[in-house]
Amino acid sequence: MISHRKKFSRRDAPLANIATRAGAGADMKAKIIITPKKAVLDPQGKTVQNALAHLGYQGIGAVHVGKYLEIDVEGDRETARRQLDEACHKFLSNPVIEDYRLEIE
Amino acid sequence: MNFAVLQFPASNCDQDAVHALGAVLGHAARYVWHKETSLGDADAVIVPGGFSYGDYLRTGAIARFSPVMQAVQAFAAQGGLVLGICNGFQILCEAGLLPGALIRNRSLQFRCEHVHLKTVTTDSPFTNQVPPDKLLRIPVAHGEGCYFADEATLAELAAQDRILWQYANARGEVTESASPNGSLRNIAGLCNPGRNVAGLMPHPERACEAILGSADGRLIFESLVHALRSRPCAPAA
Repeated sequence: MISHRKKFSRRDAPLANIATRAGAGADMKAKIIITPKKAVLDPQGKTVQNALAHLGYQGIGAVHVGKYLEIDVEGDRETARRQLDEACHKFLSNPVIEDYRLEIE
Repeated sequence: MNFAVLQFPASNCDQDAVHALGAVLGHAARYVWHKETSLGDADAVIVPGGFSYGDYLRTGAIARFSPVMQAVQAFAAQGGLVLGICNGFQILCEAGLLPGALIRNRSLQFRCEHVHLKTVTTDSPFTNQVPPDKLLRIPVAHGEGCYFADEATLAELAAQDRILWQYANARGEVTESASPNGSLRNIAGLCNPGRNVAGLMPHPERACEAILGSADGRLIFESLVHALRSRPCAPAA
């Protein structure tokens, strides 16, 4: 299990770097996580869950496979949040089947 | 009749639709590029299948904001007949012209095969020529055709007789195993409250000639034509 952890933390490293660099180029970085609503059938999540169990991982519960978007944004933080919140609702996610979480760093 | 067949980048059933409507059924059918802002003198609009804009983000998510879709919104609001097929159905759902959404097939597989459709109601411009009890044999070809809507929407669809087609087995029974994608209530196609906008996942345009294995799809287009001919006047585009 320890070797797995190492592998993942190395993969995550570039994301952390981007976040710290954000101040240099674009003013802010918006991070948007889109997941299927709980009521929606998620065969992909179910398949991943089954595969994890097959691989012998213990205590794995429901899995939901979603999407992750990073968007460089410039300007006023409140305006950026308002605009992106609207974009999430209108375009980036489909409220019929998905939930989203918007973070601005 | 004049049919407008929309063309998005990566539409791939547009030519089939124009062939079926033009060469097979003898109507005028022309392509309308996604950047057009007008539908011209169209009597009806076909939103064809394919992978518009590469299906990026979600199926139909980007196509719905194209200029031509603003014209389709206006056309539909005036009562114009709009039929979305496969990706066209997905686009119409994304555009809010039809309720619900189409998500990954429950099997996670792309399904490409002939299915049987039960026509639930003949009370629509898309089904009026389908004989009662006639089972339509029409191909599907999709990876994201599992119809989803919340319970309230499903109840409304049923109460308003807006489910047009359901997946059925060869005996016409609507069973879970007859569905290629796991759609709720086996929904293959439905219409809006005004009954002038409809969408379905199966491809009637690929089933208009016996040499293709089935000509049952003609009944859907012939229904559209019958509805147009029965109208006092066509809506302005």
